[in-house]
Amino acid sequence: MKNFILFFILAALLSGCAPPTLYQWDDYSDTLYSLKSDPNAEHLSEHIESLENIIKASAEKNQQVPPGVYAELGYWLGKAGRGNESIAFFQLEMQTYPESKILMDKVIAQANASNKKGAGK
Amino acid sequence: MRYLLTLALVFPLFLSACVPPTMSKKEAYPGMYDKKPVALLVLSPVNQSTAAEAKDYFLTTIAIPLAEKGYYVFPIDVVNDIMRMDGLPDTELLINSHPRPFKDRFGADAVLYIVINQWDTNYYVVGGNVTVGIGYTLKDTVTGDVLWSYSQTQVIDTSGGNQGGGIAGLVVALIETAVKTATTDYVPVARQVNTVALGAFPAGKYHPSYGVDGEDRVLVPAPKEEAK
Repeated sequence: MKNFILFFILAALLSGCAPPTLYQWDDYSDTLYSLKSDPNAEHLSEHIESLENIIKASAEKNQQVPPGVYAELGYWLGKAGRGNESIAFFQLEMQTYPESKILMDKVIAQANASNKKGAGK
Repeated sequence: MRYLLTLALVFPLFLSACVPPTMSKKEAYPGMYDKKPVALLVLSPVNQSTAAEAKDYFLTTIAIPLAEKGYYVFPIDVVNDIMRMDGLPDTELLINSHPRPFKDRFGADAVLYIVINQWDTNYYVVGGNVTVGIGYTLKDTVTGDVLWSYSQTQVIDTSGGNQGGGIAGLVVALIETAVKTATTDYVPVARQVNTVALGAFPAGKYHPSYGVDGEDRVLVPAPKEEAK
């Protein structure tokens, strides 16, 4: 019985020192590291997948998508030649985090310009 | 008796898990509570180590812990891309100038300057280690004041640990150390450095403790001299 109580005290202490995380991160840090250490198409698509998984997992857990994730997804999609999909994510970033408005306005304008250039070819 | 013994084991655990109180977070970081920054912009680090790749690698570790503290962290690669395109200079040239442009150009409330002091592998006769040392300075983009700063170095021992005697034992230990040192990743060490440095960082707008952690007692280490 005493051990039982101690177990709960311990559990309470441990949980007190390691609170649950605010966000889902999937393999974010690892796939970004791979992309930085060896930038190639495979690592790029793995990182894009990781960002997409974050968005999916956040919806499932009813959590907010972490700051910057929508914007980063839009950015890397642009690098992967899928610039036509970028703008929707930049807009989601701005809706979720109004703090990003100035930056998102810039990247949306930029994406519009390069999409137009790409379509004109 | 056994109960006492268990308690004796549990009590130090309690003490070690939670730091001895010294001052409140509000006293330790008054600027954070006064200015209440929400949107943080992380600049590419100034690299004073000999490892050229340290900048990029370190940047993969910093966004998560800051976001988990409840801040809006601007997407680092997106910001860097815009900075390049706008012809903004490297952090080396920005670190001593007023951060105001980051308010106007990006809407940042504060800018985090990072200096990589150490990102090294060291070998000595029968041992080795991986060392990551980071200095952090967060400045308000309106006043230019320092809101928070911290310097932290983490050393991971990579000695082989082979206790065998004689020359053969020494050779085995040397090889073990070399292999262990070469394969010890800097990135997990960098993550530990961030965890320690941000341990007492006040909670931001998106954290449930936002605005109510000012009276939390924290241990604030005396400013240390940079190791070399």
